[in-house]
Order: sequence, then structure tokens, then C-alpha cells
Amino acid sequence: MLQLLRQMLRLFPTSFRNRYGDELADLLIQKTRDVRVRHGWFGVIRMWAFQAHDLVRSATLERRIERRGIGRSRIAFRPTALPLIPVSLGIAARSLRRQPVFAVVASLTLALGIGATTAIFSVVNGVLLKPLAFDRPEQLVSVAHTAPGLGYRRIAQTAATYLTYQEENRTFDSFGVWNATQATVTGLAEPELVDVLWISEGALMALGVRPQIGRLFRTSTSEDIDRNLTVISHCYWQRQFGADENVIGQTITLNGSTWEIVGVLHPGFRLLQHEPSLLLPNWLPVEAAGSRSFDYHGLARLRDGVDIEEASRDVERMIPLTASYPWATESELVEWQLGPNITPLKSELVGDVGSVLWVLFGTFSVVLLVACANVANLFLVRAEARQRELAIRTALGGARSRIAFQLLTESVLLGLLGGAIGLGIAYLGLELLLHLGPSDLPRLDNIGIDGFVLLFTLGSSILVGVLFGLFPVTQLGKPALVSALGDGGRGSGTSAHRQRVRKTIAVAEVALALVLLIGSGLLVRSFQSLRSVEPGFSQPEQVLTLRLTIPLVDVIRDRIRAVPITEQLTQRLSEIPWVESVGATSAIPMERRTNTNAVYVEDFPLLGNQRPRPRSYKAIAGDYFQTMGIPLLAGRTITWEDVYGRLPVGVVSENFAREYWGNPGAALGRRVRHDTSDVWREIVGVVGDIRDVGLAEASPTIMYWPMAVEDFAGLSLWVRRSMVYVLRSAHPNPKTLLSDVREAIWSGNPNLPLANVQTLEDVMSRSMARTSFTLILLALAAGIAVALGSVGVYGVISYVVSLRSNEIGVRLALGATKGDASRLVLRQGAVIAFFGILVGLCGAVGGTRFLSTLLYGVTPLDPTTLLAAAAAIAFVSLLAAYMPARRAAAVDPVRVLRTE
Amino acid sequence: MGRRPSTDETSTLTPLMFQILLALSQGERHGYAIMQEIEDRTEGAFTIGAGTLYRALKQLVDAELIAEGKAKPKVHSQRRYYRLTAAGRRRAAAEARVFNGMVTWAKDSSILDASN
Repeated sequence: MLQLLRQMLRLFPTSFRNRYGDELADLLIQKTRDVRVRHGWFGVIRMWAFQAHDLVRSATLERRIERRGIGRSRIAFRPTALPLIPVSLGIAARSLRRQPVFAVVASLTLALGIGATTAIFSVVNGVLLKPLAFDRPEQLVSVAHTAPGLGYRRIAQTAATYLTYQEENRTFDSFGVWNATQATVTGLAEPELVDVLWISEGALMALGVRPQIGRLFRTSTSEDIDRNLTVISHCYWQRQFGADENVIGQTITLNGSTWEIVGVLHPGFRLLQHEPSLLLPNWLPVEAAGSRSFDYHGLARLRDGVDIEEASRDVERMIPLTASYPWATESELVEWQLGPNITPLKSELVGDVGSVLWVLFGTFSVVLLVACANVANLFLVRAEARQRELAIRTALGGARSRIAFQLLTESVLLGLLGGAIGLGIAYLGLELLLHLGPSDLPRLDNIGIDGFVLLFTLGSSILVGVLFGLFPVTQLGKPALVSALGDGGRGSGTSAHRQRVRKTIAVAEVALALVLLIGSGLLVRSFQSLRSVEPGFSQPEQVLTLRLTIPLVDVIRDRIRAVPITEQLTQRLSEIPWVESVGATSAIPMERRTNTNAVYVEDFPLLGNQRPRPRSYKAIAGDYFQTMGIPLLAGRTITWEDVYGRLPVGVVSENFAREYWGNPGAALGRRVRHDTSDVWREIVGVVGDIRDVGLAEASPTIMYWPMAVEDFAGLSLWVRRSMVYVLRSAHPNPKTLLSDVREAIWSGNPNLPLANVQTLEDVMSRSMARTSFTLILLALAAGIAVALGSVGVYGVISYVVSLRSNEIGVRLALGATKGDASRLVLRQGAVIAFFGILVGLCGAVGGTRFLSTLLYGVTPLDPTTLLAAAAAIAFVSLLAAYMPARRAAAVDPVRVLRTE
Repeated sequence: MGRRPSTDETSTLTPLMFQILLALSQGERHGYAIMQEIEDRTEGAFTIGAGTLYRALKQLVDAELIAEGKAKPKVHSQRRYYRLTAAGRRRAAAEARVFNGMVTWAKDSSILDASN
């Protein structure tokens, strides 16, 4: 036991041990004896457990005091409280101030990486991480279907599925449907087009909506059904009713009919991107359950403990049950492969932006990594320069851990400095990003630098500091002190190993830069192929589009009056100077508002209970095809005579004609219809295909109908009141015509609200916005990474040159040419580039598949892109190595020999 | 919260240091005797580690609040005796006044039974 005690006493600093060691031992022996007499062996064990712990602890504390050399000068009654970190920080700050260039370069490099990453993170945070403004938003799901048999990846609810799920589900707390549209309010002030939300009671319950005053309407009880009840938004209440509490019971005129206000919502209500002024009851009666239109967005709150998978199984179980309604037979459901498609409500909002943002976030984290690697390299150089200092400190008894801690403090301080500057960069970058960003990026108003983002920046700054600080520290772990002291600081003993580390870092930088370069290269190629896609219409920059909805009140008595009003509108619009032609359609391309319905073809009768495939259809009026520049391939277009005469005629797209009759001309005179109760409609013309869904999507088959038709899709009369008007003008900037357009419209119809005037090109570029947004950011990231990477290679090679200048000088003196000398150095750069490219290509194979949803017309492993990017990286790396190589060739052998 | 300026020292005495000063107030003692004295007088409320004890002794000696006496060679050659210096006595008294004030305070606020 005495032996053990001696060992423990060795933990104390020598001075302490010499002074008190014997006394201490004597005391403990005496104590042990006394305790054994009084408390027995058990007491001794207990005592020793305590004393041993105390010895170790006080030895540690004593050592720490000893090391700091405080001891005698002043009483340190509380040695543990001595602030280790502030002291280290002070030393670190002084050490950095001594090397301002190093500090500035390192912190700016880090600031670039941290700033860019922070900016992207604040977008990710605002768009993806902040929850929806509802209670327990994670339980909210949007309930839709897949129908591969019909060619749909995602298709909404019909009345039949809604009624079935509402009755039969076992996994939803509540389930409902909603639709966002617009409606015209008249009678309050000037007529106004407002956003309205048709919503069922179940959906309101799922969202947990509570009125601020009044009540919500109910779609389940008979007393509210068939009554026009509405709940108005808080904002609309304040704007139109001056926040009058007596608004309950008042009526408003909506689309020409009277609605009673029963409640006011709490402030800030929004559903996904919709901020409706009015909520209207979305009441689906059983009689509607024969409809095949997938018009309703399903929304549910999952029961506690139910996950999406379980809910999906539940919906899968219920799908066959929908066949009890007259909308589809069970075999049809099987043929359509109707299945559940349930997603978190948030993803509905964020859509595939989510994956894009994560890709960008990952990309910029890689940039940050490259920045780290660069600074780590700087630190290594510095650590080498300080090798002697560190060696001396270690030799003088400086604890290795203490020195390591000091180095880490320096790097973390640099990281924090970089983070602070980076925050500024992030702020500016965010401003830029929001200007640049696609306007359809959801929840833009949620994006900003908040506490969570600050926390992220702080965390990443510290992490980054620790990360690149660890490199020199690990070097410290195996120092050949004697050699470092002995060889006058040239560090030849360990430098081979350290150079290997630095070269590895450079290889990693080259590899990461290559991965990013390949990624942005792929996006450039996608963008090019998207640009070269023929949309099917011509010169979209010359086509102005605007949606006009004739108020129901104007046509309430005679719906067909919408036809002359539309004709007058097109007529007046075409009289505007510069305007060449005018048309109207129910939906313009790429807005994703095109309707679909089944199409029966007279020549191809269906067998048994086969059902026809749904097709896109649009209503058109005026010179639509001519204005859009869609070529007429056969027959004629739809004329005003067709509309007024309500003739059963239509125009089809080329791909529809080819599908059934092989060529456009053969389709003329054939007949089709949407519903078995309709009259057959004759195909009078065939027009070119258009990319109606988006440039990246295949052209759908489209049926074009007159804007007013009889016996159509089960309806006796179908007239479009809401149309998008298209104007082709030769004016270089069509938007300047807006005031003329306004005048032309309001001169005849002062009640018409006018909104969203844009060129067809605007619409098109918006459909490409996501790709171009990602492209710009990825290109930026790749640019930064390549720049940082080449700086890294340059640094490593120049260092090699400086280390080997003596050797090179000797070689030159022995007859090597200058070319040999620079080749020697260039070869080093080539080796780094080669391994960097090798690793980078492997990384690209794994990394680029995250981009696949963004790519169009190019595979993730497109050989051209891969080769071009690799060549570019090789070129840049060799360029970075070339400069030090020239320096190597300029070594003066005479001087070298003299110093040797 | 600064200490009262009545003492020269601005640092805090640890409870152990104060107890050592008290234990030495009745005369010279060696390390083990100090330990026993403290454990007895505090009725075992404090268990003292030998390492901590000697560190405190060292610091008190360095601060000249106590002084090392001569070893008494007859019985235990290693045992060193410690005694209170004048400064140590003043410091202990000042410290006791502070504690006394705090005890009075505790009684006033009925934390501590006044009759105790």
C-alpha cells in the first residue's frame, strides 16, 4: 500500500512532493490505522476511495498552478476558477495580430465559406425547417392519389373518394377537401376580384381553425347546407368592414349571389401559399359522387401515433370501397392503378424545392469544407514555421495538451472571426438571393437571419475552427523534438510526413472542386437543352397575357352573354396600336391550369366496361392559334360563327390525330366527345403540339373547344367566363402597352378586375426558374471551390519548391536544365491533379444523382460534362503548379552551392 | 460582490483554510492533528482529503497566514508543526466577523433557530 501511495504522490509536482510528500504519506498511514481501529476494514476502503480521488484531484490542480507559475506571487485561493480560455484567447489574439496577412487571408477564406453556407441555410431554415402555422403541423398531411394507369403521378380527390374516406377512414382525426379560386365581390366598393377558399368542415377541423368572432360554417349538418354562408379573413374584415363587430349577419354579393357572413377568422390565416379573403363551404353532396373530375385537394390530420405509411394502407383499403358510388367500377380502379399518395402538408407547400435546397445546402457545405482545407494548409505551414517555438516550449516542460489547446484556441478564434465576417456576407448574399430567387419559391417571407440561423453560424464557425485546427494539433502529436531542435528548423525529419498530409489536403480540395464543377456543368447542359426545346408556340416575348373574368352578375340571366362580351373585348384589344392579333383561352401553357376529361372517339368504340383515357382540353376564342404562333396543320380554326351557332366542332393537337388516325389530315371530319350523353363533336382542324405542362415535360394531347358549347361533358350548356387573353404585338416591349390595354378593357367593361399582366416569356421562364436559380448558385459554389482549390494546389507546390530549392540548385549545378527543374515541380502538381480528379470522379458518381430531378436531356454521368470538367480542373491545377515551377527554374545554382 | 476591504486580501478563503486557521488558534499542530481537530469540531460535517489539506497548508504558508514550526525529532521525524502568524490571526478574526454577520442574518430571517 505504501508503494501505491508513493506512486500517487508522484502525481504531484516535484516541488510540492519534496516539501510535503513525506508528511502527507505519514498522515495517511496514521489515518488509516485510526480508521481501521474505529471503523474496521470497510471504513478503510471507504476512506481510501475518498483519499485517492482527492490526491489525484489536488495533484492535478497543483500541477496546473505550478505550470502557470503563479504559486508564490499571489495567493490563488481558487485555482480552479482561473480562466483558462480567456487567457488562451488573449495569447491567440496576440499571436494572430503578429501575422496580420495570415489572419486576414485565413478569416476571409473562412468567411466566404461560412457566409455562403449561412445564406443557404437561412433559406433552408425559412422554407423547410420552420413549421406551418398550425397546431402540431407534423400531423397534417395532404391526401392524394397516384394513378399510373391514367398517366398521373399525383391526382387529387373526387367527390366519391372524399365521401368514402370521410366515412370509412380509420387513421384520420379529421379529413376534408379544399379548393382555392377567385371570385368577384360587388356592392361593397368597386368590384374586386378576391381570393376565396372553398373548404369543407373536415379540413377546417384538421387545420384547427377557430374563428375570432362568430362561428365557422358546417358542411355536415343539414341546417347550414344550401345556405350561402361565408367566413371572412381578419384582413378582409379590417379592410372592408373597418373591423366592425356587427359584421356577423351582414351579406356580401359574390359572383352575383348573396352570401351571409357568419364569422371572422383569426389574423394570419393561410393555407399553404393561399391567403384567402373569404372561406366558402365546400359541400359535396352524394349526388355529385358520379363525377370523374379529380378537383378537390384532400387534407387530413392523422390520429396520434399514426404515420403516413399506416394512413396510406388505410386509403389503399378504402379505394375499392369508392366503387359503391357510381363514379367508377372496381375493375376501372384496378386498371387506373389508383393508389394512395399521402405526403406531409409541408411538402405540398415546399414541393420539390425541398430536395433542391438540400442539394444546394450540401453543395455549399462542400465549399466550406474546401475553405477549411485551405486554412488547414495555411495553419500547417505556420505550424511548421513555429515548430522550433513549439519544440522549445515542449522541451521546457510545456504540456503537449496545453500547446495543443493553444493552437486550437487560435483556430477557433479565426473561425469565429470568419463567422462574424461571414454573417455580413450571408446578409448581403441573402438580399441578392431573394432578388435572384424564383418568385414561386414558397414561403419567401419566412426567410431571414433569425436566432436559429445565428446559432447555426456560431456552431459552424466553432466546428470549422476545431476542424482545421486539428490538423496542426495532430502534427504536434508526433513531433520529433530533437530533430526539430537539432536541424535548425528546416524540419527535414518529419516534413516528409507533413508534406504527405498537405498533399492529401490538396487532393481533397481538387476532388471537391471537381464534383461541384461537374454538378454545375450538368445543370448548364440541362439549361441548354431546355432552351433548345421547341415549346410549340413562337416568339413568346411578343405575346402579352392577362386573365379576365366576366362577373357572374353580367351574365347571370343569360350565361351565353359571356360570348359577345368576350368578342367585344378581343375586338377592342385588337384595335390597340402595335397589336397584331388577339385570342383567348381557358388556360395558357405552363401555368398548369389545364383541365382534363375523358375523350370518347367515335371510330374506336370501347369494349365492355372499358373507360376512355382523360385528355387535356381548353376552350378558345378569337385568333388564339395565330396569336400564340401555334401552326395549323390541317383544316381550319374555331371561328366566332362556331361559337355563336354553338356548333359541335373542335380542334385537336397533332399527337392526338396521329395516335388514332396516323396523320393530321385524316383526323378531319372524325368525331369525339367527353361524355356518353354528349353530342359527337367533329374535328375541324389539327394544330401543332405544345409543351403545355412545362418545357421539360412531354407535350400532352389537347382538345380545343369553342368557349360556349352545348351538351358538353354532361352539361347542357358550358360557357367560359374566365379566360386568359393573349395579344401578339410587334412592340419591342409589349408591357408598355399596359395602359392602352387597361383603357381598352375598361372603356366597355368598367367592372372588370385586371391582374397579372405578363408576357408568355415570363410564364415560360418562371417554369424554368428553379433550374436557373439552382444553376446560378451551383455555378457560384463551383467557382468558389475551384478558386480555393487552385490556391490550395499553388500553396502546396510553392512550399515544395521552397523546401527543395537547395536540391534543385544542386541538380542545376550538376547539369540539369531549367526545363528539367520546372518539370520536376510540375510533376508534383500533375500527381495532385491526377489523384484529385480520380477521387472527384468517384465523388461525382455518388453525388450527381441528387441532381437528377433537375436534369433535362442529360444523364447524371454525361461523359462530355465529366471530361470537360476534369480537363478544366487539370488545367487549373497545372496552372497553379506552373507559377512555382517557374520559380524553381529560376533558382540560382551558384548561390545554392555557396550556402551549402 | 466584492469582499470587505478590511482585510488586505481580496481572494476568498476556502472553508478548509478558515478551519485550518481556527484549528491553529489554540497553538501549534501537525497536519494530522489539524485534520482531526476539524473533523471533531465540525462533528464530521467535513471530510478532509490529505492532498487538499496540504495544498491549503502550502497556500496559507505562501500567503504567510501560517508558519511552519520546527520538526520535533523525537517521535515522528517527518511531522512538521504549523502555527498561526499575526496576519493569520487577524485574517481569521475578520473572516469570523463576516460569518458571524451572516449567521445573525440567517437568524433574523428565521432560517436558523435564534436559541441555537
